[in-house]
Amino acid sequence: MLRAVTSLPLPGSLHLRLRETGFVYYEDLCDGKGYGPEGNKLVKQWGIDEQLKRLASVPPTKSALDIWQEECTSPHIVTFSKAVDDLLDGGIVVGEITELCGAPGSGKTQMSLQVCVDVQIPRSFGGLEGEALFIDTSSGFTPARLKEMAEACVDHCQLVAFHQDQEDMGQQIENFTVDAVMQGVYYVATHDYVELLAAIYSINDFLHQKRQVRLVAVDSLAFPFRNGILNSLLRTRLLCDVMQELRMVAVKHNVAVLVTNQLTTKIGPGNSHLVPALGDSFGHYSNQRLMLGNLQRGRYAAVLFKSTRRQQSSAEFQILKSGIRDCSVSVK
Amino acid sequence: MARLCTQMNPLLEERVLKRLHQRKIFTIVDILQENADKLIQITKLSYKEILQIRQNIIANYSAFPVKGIDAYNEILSNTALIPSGIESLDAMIGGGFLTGKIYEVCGSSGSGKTQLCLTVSAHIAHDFKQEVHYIDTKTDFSGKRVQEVLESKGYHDEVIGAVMERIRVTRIKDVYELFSFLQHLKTSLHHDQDGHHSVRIIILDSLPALFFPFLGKNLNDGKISLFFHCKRMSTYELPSYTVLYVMIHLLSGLTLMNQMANTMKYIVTEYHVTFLVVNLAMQLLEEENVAGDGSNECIPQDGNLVICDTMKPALGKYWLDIPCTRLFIHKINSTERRQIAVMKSTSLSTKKRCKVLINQKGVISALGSE
Repeated sequence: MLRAVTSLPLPGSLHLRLRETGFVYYEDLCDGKGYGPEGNKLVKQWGIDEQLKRLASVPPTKSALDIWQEECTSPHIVTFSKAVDDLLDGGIVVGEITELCGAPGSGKTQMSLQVCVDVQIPRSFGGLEGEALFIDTSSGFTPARLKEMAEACVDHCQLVAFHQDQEDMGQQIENFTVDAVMQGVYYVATHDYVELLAAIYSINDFLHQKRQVRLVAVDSLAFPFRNGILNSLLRTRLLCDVMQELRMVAVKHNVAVLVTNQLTTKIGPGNSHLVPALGDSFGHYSNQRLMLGNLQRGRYAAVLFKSTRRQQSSAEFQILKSGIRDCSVSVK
Repeated sequence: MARLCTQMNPLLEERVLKRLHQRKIFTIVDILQENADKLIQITKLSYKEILQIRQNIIANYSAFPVKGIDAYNEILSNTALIPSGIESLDAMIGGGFLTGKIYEVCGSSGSGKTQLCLTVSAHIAHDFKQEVHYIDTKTDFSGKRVQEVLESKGYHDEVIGAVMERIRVTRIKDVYELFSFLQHLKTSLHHDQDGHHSVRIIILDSLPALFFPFLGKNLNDGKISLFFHCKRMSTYELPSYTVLYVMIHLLSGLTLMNQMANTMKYIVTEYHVTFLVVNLAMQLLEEENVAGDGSNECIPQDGNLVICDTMKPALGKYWLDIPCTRLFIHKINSTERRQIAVMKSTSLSTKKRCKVLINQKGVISALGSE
C-alpha cells in the first residue's frame, strides 16, 4: 500500500506536473531513506524539497499519561463565580476552546468581559497576570462596563492584599490598577464575516508580538455568520476553518479561547425548540459548550451542555454592578 | 513501487527507460496497457523480450490465489474478538469488536461518542496489556477523564499509570496528517508483525472534522477556484479540458476520502486490527415521498408528501458503506442514559439495541438490554 501523491497538500499545478512526469506515489519520489535520483532532481528543480519533507512528516504521538500531566498543570481563568468555576473544573481552561451560548440577555458578553478582567489578576493572587484580546463582531463591547468590573476586581485584590499582608502581593497590587487592566485588553471590532476571518487569521501574528495575552474572546462568533452567507455549505466550511485556526492558536500559544454563540429555533415536525445556532457540525467542533440563560429576578443559569471531562450539570450565578458573582443564597 | 525502474527487470536498462519516459510511459500500469507493437517500436526490444518484461511484472505485482481452506485457517488463527468491556454493548455486537473490520460510532453532538471511545480505549489498554492508538482530530481526548474512569475501577496508581502509558494519542489537524500517520503506523506494524500483535485497535475520533473543510468546494464557489487554477495552469500549455478534469478531482475531498478508506481497509486486513471511527449524526429535515422506517418520526403532510426528521451520518453517501458495522448512540430522556443501536451491519441484526449509562465510571452497561 503506497501513498498517492494526491494525498499531499500540494498546489494543483504541482500535482499536475508530478502526474505529467509519471510520479503517482510518494514512495516513487522518496523511499524512506531519501529521494531517488530522479525524484531528487525534480524536487530540487521545483524547490519543494523542504516543503515535501514537512508535509510528509509524521505527527507526534504522546501517551495518555503525558496528556493527563499537561492537563493537570494547565492553569484556569476564574470567572468570580464559584459555582460556574466548579462546573468548568476550575474555570476557563487555558489551551482550549470554550463556547458560551445563550439567548440575548443571558450574560454571554458580561461573562466575556469578566474573564477579560480576571485573566489579568497578578500571580500572587492566584491569577495568570496575562492580557486579553477581545474580537467584537456585534458591537457588544462596552468600555464603561469593563471599567466597572475592573474597579471591583482591583478593589477586591486590594482588600485581599490588606488582609493577607504578604510582601509580593503588596508589590504586585501597586501595578494592578484600573488603568492597567483597561490597557491590558486589546480590542478588535469587525463588521462582517470577511473582517472576522481576517482578524482570526491574524491572531497568530498578533500573539507572536504580544506574548502576555492569555485569553482570546470572540463575541459573538455566530453573528457575522448568520447574515451575509447564503450558502450553508460554505458557512460550515468557513466555520470549521475558523475553529481549526482557533484551536491551533490555543494550543500553540497556550491561550484560552472563548467564543460566544447565539440560539436558534429548530423546527421539527410537530414541535420546535431552541438550540445553539450554527448547526450540528459546529456543535461537533466545539469541545466545551456552556449554555447560559436568564432566570427571573436577576438570577442566571449556566448549564454544561457538552464536555469530555465533566458530566452535564448546572450552576447559578448573578450579574451585579461589580460583575459576575455567585448567588449568595442557592435555590435548589 | 509503481514507477518503472532498472531493478524491476534486467531488460529494463537505463537507455530503454529513457525511451519509455519520452513517450510518457512511466508506471507499470502504463507499460501493461500499451500496445506491444508500439512498445517494440519505442524500446527497440524484441517481441519476446517485451512479453518477458510484462510477464515478470505481472508475476511480481499481481495478487495470487490462495486455497480457500488456507485463507480460512489464516483468518481463524489471526482474527480476534476484542471485548469493549461494556457488557451490554459486547452482548449486542456478539462478544466484541472483530479484528479486520471497520466499526463506526455515530451520534449527534454531545451524545457520548467520545466518552465511548475513551472508555473502550481504557478497558482494552488495561485488559489486554496492548497499545491502543487514539487519533484525535479535535483535541477531544481528555487524560483526566481516562484517569477518572480507571480510578473508579479501583486500580492502583501504578496500574493506572501503566495503562495510560499504553494509550498512544496522536493529535492531527487535517486529513493530510492522517495520511502521514497511517503510513507511519503501517510501517511500524509491518516491522513488529511476526506472530504477536502489539496493536489490536485504532480509534479515530472524529472523522467529519477532517472532511468538513472540503464542504461546498465543488459547488458554487468551486467554479471560482477552478477558474483560478485554470488561469495559473495555462502556462504549462496543456489542453484545457485535461486541466479542468484534473482540478475537479483534486479539489473534491472525495478523492481523499477514497484514499483514506483504502488505507484503513489495508491496515485492518493486513495487520488484523480493528478501526473504530467516530462519525457525526446530523439531523436532516427531508421531504420524502416514501415513509421512512420505524425509527424515524414521520408526520404525514398534505397528500403523500411526508416530512421525515431523520438522523443521518455525515460525510455523504460514499462513506456509508465503508464501515462494516455502524452503531448509533443517542440520548434517551435523562442526562446519563444512552441507547446504542445497530444501524447497519454485515453480520449483526439491525434490530439489536442496548442501553448504557454515562457517569464518572465512564460508559457502563445498564440493565434492560434487549
